[in-house]
Amino acid sequence: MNLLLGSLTIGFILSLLGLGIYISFWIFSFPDMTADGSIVVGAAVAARLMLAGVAPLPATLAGMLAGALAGMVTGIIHTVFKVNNLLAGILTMTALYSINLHIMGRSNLPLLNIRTLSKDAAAIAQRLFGSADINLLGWQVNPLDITQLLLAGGAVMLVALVLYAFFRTQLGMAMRATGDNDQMIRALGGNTNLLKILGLALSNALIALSGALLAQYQGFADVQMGIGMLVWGLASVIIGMALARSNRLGFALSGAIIGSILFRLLVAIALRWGLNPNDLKLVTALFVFATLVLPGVLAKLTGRKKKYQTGVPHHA
Amino acid sequence: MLKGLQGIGAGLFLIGLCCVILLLSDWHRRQGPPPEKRTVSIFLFSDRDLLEESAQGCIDRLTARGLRPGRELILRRYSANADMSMANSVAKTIAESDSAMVITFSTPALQVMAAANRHRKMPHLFGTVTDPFQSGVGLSRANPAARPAWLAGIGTFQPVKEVFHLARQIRPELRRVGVVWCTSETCSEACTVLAREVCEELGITLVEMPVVTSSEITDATRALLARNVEAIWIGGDNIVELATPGIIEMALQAGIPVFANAPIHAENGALLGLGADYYQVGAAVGDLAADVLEGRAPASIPVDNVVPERLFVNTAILPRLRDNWTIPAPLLASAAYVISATNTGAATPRTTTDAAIARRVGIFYYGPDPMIDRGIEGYKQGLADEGFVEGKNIEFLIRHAQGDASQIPQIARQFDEADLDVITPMTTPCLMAALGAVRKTPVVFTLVYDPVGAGAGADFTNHLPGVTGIGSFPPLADTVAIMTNLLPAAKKIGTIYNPSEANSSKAVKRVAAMLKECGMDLEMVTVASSAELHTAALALVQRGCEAIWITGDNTAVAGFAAIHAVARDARIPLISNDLDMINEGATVAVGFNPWHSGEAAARLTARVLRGESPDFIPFQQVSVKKVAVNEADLQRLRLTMPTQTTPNAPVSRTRLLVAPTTAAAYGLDLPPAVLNRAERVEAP
Repeated sequence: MNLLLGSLTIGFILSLLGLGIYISFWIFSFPDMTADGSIVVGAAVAARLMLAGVAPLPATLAGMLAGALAGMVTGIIHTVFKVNNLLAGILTMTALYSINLHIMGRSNLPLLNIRTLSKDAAAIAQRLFGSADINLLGWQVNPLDITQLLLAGGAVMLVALVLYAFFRTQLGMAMRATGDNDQMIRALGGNTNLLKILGLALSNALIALSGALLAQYQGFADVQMGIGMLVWGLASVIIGMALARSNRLGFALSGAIIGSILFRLLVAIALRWGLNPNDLKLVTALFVFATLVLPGVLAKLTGRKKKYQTGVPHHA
Repeated sequence: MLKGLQGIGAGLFLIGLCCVILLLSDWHRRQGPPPEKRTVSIFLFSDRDLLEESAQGCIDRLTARGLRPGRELILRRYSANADMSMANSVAKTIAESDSAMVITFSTPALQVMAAANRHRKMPHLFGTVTDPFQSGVGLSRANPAARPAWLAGIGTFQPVKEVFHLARQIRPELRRVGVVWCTSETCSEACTVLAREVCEELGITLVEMPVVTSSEITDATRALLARNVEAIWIGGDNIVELATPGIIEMALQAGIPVFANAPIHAENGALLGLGADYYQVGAAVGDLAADVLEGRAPASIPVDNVVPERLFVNTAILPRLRDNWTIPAPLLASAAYVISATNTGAATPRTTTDAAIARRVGIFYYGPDPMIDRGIEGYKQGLADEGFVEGKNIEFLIRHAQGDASQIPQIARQFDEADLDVITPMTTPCLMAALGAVRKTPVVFTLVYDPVGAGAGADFTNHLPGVTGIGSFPPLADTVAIMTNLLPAAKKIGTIYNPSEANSSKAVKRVAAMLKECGMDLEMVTVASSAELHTAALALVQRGCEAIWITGDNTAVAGFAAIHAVARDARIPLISNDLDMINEGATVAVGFNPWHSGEAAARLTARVLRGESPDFIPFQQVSVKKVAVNEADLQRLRLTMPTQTTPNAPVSRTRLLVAPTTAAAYGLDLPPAVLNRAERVEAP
């Protein structure tokens, strides 16, 4: 039960990463490599500030802001200096590695003995449920785990709603249109470069937020915590998109979140039955493959003829 | 729209499915009503053998009565390491904990616990106490009814008179007996009073030498010997007890026998030890504890004197004695254990049986690494030495995170769920994850450079609850000493490391400072992956470095061959803190042996498996240094390894290991002199 609660919580936290990647990769068709760096920058800035005595919430928001800056840098390198989009992201990510080391002062910062959002959650849990374990469907569960899950879930829902509302404003519409067809937007007199920079800033702010929350949840920030995050984030988003089968904004956003959670649950199942530790990644990959293929097989079995492709956005 | 909804529905369905799978796999952990496990704390004043025996007897009896630790009972074991202030804080911790009962062994533990328990009034059972009525805990011999209702136990008055009678039986001419006793201990005083009585009865002069602290014991013994005693007797005294082997040795050098009230001292060279069988004493307390847990009121248990006697005799020391002491055959026959010249003891008569319940230990680490493998090897061996043999009464679950940091917390969490007895994180990131995620299971870490830096505590004794383990910092001072001796004229040493590894950064910083003091500069190049190592090494050579030193950096070690190739071509020595690198081309390797760090962690794990709480087990720094030298490479570089290194940083335990494979790579034959000196020769 605790494994389930923990995996759901991490799934929610990393679904912010999924949403960020959805914005860059899906909306802007921009394979943004900054993610590996910006998830750490969020964690690093938040951790450093909290260690310096800043309250957790402002520190987390500052981490988010740092991520936005990183995204803007990538955007500027790409649009103003006309550097290839992949390379622009790689440049920022590489630079961030050193910057993150400087921010933290060393390669990892333990957060066990200071006030973090996790500690705040513990205080809330204490008030809501008391300090004793509570009985959930027959399992003894630590109230802190439930509170963290509820808070993480609530935060993600809030962010998703804000994003939904934002992408329906004029600016948001323009952003989505830029990704679809930037020549058209330019022809209409829109500044696509500015829109791209803003979009990347937004994307990386979400990724940094995810990093800041993850660091507080697991109790430390580490300069290596970003390695591979982009790849797994992409995998989560693609799972989600394959399931959602729709480009309508609401479904796409929900798909990104669902994909992230599903992915973490699959990892948890693979861990639970972790046979030989060396096989873990293989098992994870097989699970993900099965999840992607299963809906298609099911559709075929139920006799629907309509074909759809897995994992490829219509306009990518 | 509909399709989208279907998709979301499918996604939610899959999430639900995963949840159900995870929950079903966890079904057996479902508990209906709240758990009925009761917590029992066992508190020992020190790790003295006889207290350990008592505790073991108690635990074994509880288990036999169907109250199994880890199943029906949560057992927490505390030891104050013979430190009175520590004992006070342990007692306070127990009184404030959720313990349903406390069991103490030894008089000091009884006293401090009784004081701390005054308000909480939880059932308190005691044993291995010489005279509970003299302990000042509210018990009175004259008025047994007037006593704290929550306190019960047994007294075990040492068979003092019997020991003197035995001594007299062996040597009727015995006239003068000496004793060292600690005036601050009530039980010691009680024994001495009895001894005075029996000596008067038998016409023996008792030469007393009172002491207050353990530091006075040696002088007191010397004074006794100078006053011509014919034998020394040691009663039940916690302070003197710990110094007994030393007293016995001094007495034997003077040709004087020692007789003791703890049988176990016969193994240390006492002529005879007559005392209580403390395993049985513990078992008797265990019986009472089980009664109370089953509902009997402690006040209804009379405080009795229980002395299951046990005699150990040591005939091996007879030739060393000045006077003639012959032990009559009937007496020998009545001894439970005789240590003779052919049977020199060593084996304790009673071995604890832990086979009843199979223990489960979870080990997890960052990623595959030969260093970890050897750490695990040492860990398993250490546990086997402690009686926990894999496949028999212990099971290991081993996981690693494939070098993916985001999976570490999930592994820690899964372990915490898995009903393990101990979780052992190896490597720093795993320790940090365990600190965050593990709540229910004791944690014993190892192969961590700096546990304090990782946030496990403020210092080695004052640390987070539920966590203990071994820190192993590499022998950096020795590394610097080797470099300065190998290359006295050098000005620049180069190093390559990955700044994202906290341990490497710290080691590099320290070595840079130490080298600066010796007038050398450390040129540093950082890398993020092993692919950059070759270029980095070339850059160091270009900068004019006269040697390359590599700490135990995981990235640099992974691509050591690349660095070696550059150093070999540039004809400069390569010094490593990872011992395995001697086989990868390092000229000199000096490092800690991971096997020993694993083995040391096993000792702590065994204590935790026996029920001791990690809260009061201090962290230990275990760094068994080893130096390995590739003589062939030194010859090629025309360098000599000084046998005597600088006085400020002596290299102890210098060991020579030889790798003929490396020598062959240079087309060199190893001279027999080198091979003969080698402690171990790697097979080619």
